Amino acid sequence: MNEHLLSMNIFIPLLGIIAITSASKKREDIVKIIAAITTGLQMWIALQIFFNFDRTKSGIQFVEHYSWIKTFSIDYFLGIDGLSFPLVLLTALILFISVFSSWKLKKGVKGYFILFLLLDMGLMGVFTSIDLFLFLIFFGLTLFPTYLLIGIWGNSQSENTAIKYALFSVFSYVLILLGILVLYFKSDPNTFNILELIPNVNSSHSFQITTFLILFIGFAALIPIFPFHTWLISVLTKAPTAVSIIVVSILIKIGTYGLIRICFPILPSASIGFALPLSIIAIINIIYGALCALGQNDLKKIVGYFSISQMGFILLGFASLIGGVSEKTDAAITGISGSLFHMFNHGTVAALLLLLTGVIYNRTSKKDISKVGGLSSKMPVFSGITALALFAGFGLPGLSTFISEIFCIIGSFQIPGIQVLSIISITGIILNAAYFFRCFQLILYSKENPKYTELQDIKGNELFMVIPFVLIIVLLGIYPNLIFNIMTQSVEKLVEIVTVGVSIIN
Amino acid sequence: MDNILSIKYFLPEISLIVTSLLILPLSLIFKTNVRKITIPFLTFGFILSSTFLIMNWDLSGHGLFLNLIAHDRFSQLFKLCLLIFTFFLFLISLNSSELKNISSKEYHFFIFISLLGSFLLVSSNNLLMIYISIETLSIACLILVGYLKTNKSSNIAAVKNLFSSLLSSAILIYGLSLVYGLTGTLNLHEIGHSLSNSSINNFSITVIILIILFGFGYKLTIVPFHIWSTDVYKGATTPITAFLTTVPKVAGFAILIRVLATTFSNANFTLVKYFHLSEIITVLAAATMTLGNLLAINQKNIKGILAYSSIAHSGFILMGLAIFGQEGISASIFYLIMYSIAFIGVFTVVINSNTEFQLANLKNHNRLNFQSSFSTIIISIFLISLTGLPPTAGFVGKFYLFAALIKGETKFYWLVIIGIINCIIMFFYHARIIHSMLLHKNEKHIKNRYDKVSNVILILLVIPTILFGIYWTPLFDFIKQSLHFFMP
Repeated sequence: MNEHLLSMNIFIPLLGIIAITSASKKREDIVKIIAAITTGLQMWIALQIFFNFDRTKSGIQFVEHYSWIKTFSIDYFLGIDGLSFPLVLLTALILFISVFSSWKLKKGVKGYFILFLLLDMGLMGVFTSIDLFLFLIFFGLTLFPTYLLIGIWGNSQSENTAIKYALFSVFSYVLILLGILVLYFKSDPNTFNILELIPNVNSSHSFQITTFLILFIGFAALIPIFPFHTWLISVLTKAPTAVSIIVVSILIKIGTYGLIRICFPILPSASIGFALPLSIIAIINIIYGALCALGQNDLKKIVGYFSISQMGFILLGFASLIGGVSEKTDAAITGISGSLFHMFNHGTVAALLLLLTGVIYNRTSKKDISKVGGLSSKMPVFSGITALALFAGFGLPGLSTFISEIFCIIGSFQIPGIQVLSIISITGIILNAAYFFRCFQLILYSKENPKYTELQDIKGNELFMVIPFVLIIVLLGIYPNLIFNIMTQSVEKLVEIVTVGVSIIN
Repeated sequence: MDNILSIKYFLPEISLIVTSLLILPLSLIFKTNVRKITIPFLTFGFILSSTFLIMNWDLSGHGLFLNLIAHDRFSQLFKLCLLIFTFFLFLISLNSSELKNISSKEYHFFIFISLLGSFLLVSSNNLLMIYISIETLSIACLILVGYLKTNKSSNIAAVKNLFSSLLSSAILIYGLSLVYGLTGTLNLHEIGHSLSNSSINNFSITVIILIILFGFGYKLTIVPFHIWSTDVYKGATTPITAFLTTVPKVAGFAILIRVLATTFSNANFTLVKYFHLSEIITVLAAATMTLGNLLAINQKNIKGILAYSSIAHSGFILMGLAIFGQEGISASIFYLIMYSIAFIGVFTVVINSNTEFQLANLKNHNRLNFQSSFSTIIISIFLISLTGLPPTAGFVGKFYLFAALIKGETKFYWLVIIGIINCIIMFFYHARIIHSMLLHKNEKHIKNRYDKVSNVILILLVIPTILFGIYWTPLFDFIKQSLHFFMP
């Protein structure tokens, strides 16, 4: 059974969709239960993979390889390695929790969960495809469901946000399509297979630079890197909570995943020249995101700018990979491991923060946290969890984000060219701490609002949703090897691939 | 092949002629319940024609009537497509509210005549034949556009159509006569032969090619000739618009491909370099899709959007013809077929909904809520296919076009960039239709009057749209094998 786990993971939602379509329109609870079972099964599969994952192997595992379109040498080729598996795990977890976070949905339940499962299918496919064409298909599959989920089930002004999101993602989609086509026709024999493309693109430096830029701008719009970031903030404030969790925790990771999966290994020669620009972009993201977050009162917007800032740290780790390949291999490994781990951690923390935002909003119907008033005395459990989430946001030692953030910074600090930038990035941590302490103070310990005398503490469904994230954040803070174990071999391989690629070109 | 032997291969066209000629007396004899007699009869005509077409499916090429008409795989592919499209459009138009209260016998007659014209057009192998069949098609379309005699917009559209098709015919026949003057022959293949061997300077040949391209331009809605075509599309009744945006366009592109392939390219389908054909078509493609897209953004109702969208899609199809070669042509043909399927699908939904939907101002944030979620899902699938997102056939079409462009020479790369930008714009206005159906909060219900036939047609159109988005090898191979032109 193990050999078909990935296909099952991708196509279980399809069965779910069929089941939902045939469910009666009046029994909306059944639709929700079907969605929960579907994502629960995916969660179970992800855990199966987690326990059976061979941590000593650097290549792809759980491979499924069939020929699909022969004339274009397109294969149905699935597989995971240490780079993609943490994201698959995160996706399974987030989607499972998201179903419960949309449990109270009343409007158009059937349509919502059909689109939700389509999105699920696309996301799982993106992270497990080894064939780039398959990657494109699945990536394209995520666009329309997300667009409709934001537009139809979002709050009052979500229509424009939906079209904004769609335009940005179509922009990145067509650029990635273009980049992949260019890679395909440059390779000899022509292939979409990432593993064969890596040693295969025997190309000039100028070709690599052009292709790298096309792909990078495509992914940058998704990540989102500084000038493209506006869509993320709008989506977070307008979309329903479940969708904004998916977008901020998983969807934007497609951008960073694409960089390490496609850009760096296939175009090493262009990449190494890009270390300094990439780290400058990273610093802009870190500082800009943090400064914007400092001025916000809407917790969802704060999470948005926080994400932009954290994406900067991830990019800083990438910069240390491409800056340190040939001479500072250790630094490169440290940096990229930190980035990968941070991608996972940021997903959990952002999701937790958004869920807590939902908890506050359900009780007070206020977006502006300065008007909510202190909640600590009335909601003790909630306060504890919120405190943990906020501390995890700026990377308090002992929590998972601390380790990953520090790894990113340590990695980049050892690279001669970007040392200074690495030091500057530390101000980002301070700024992050500043706005999270501000939130901490406003939400928990400001003057109590007399309007809210009876506030129920977090419990039941809400508690069930946040507990997994709390456990993961604490557990990984103490024992990060759970994830590092998975990544180590693949990361070393990645560094090796880039090093070899650079040496061949030179 | 001489005249008598040719008749065997000409049977599909003959059955079309016979059916169309019999409709008129039949509808005079059976004055009451005309529809009950004519519709089965016409359906029989379609089936008869398609039977002959499939019976005569011949892999080798023949030149019928002393090489006036080519009977080859290419023409058979297009005839089959045209026949199916027209049959679907014919069935859909039966349910149209706009055509309900008028006598339908001439309408059906002219649908058949224009189908005959496009049959002849896709298989013309001779300049005169091209001209005659284009005229047959144009005149039939002209009457169809002005079919609602009492409707003002229909009449305006007809007059505009008259002037523009007259203009394009005049340009075309001027170009054709210049070609005849230069080469002394009317046969497409021989023209190519004598042009490449002659000492006529390339500049004058380029000018003549431009003139001929502009002659086709109105049918294909290439940019300088698009101006009135959108007015015609918007003014004509919706079933006719559906017809005009698909059947004449498919036929027009077919004859353009045939002319380019038999006259101006060598055996490997590489366009002859020194006529600057590629460059001309590249510029036309870029202009057509950009202008069509930009103008579509500002359209208010669904018919306007579709009219300009049809122009933009022409630009995309031209993109493949600029590169030519086996990849370019087959990508274009694939795109053309998928475009037509999606367009007929969208129009089927539009025709079957009440006029409120057709005229609704999409900018007004009206929610055009279909009563049945079936229509919403179906029309969304077609629109997604038109924007070119997976997993639909439209994505595969665009993918192949871009693949062919990138594989081609570096001089086409700027067209790739323009195409990419256009994809984004194209997404925007197609999404607006979905937007107004699903996203606007203002409730307003649109009723659908589907009969069983339309439902079946919609499903028959959705299946290829999804199926060829997932596994398209059979169709693509079929198209590639069809690139076999008869050359005497």
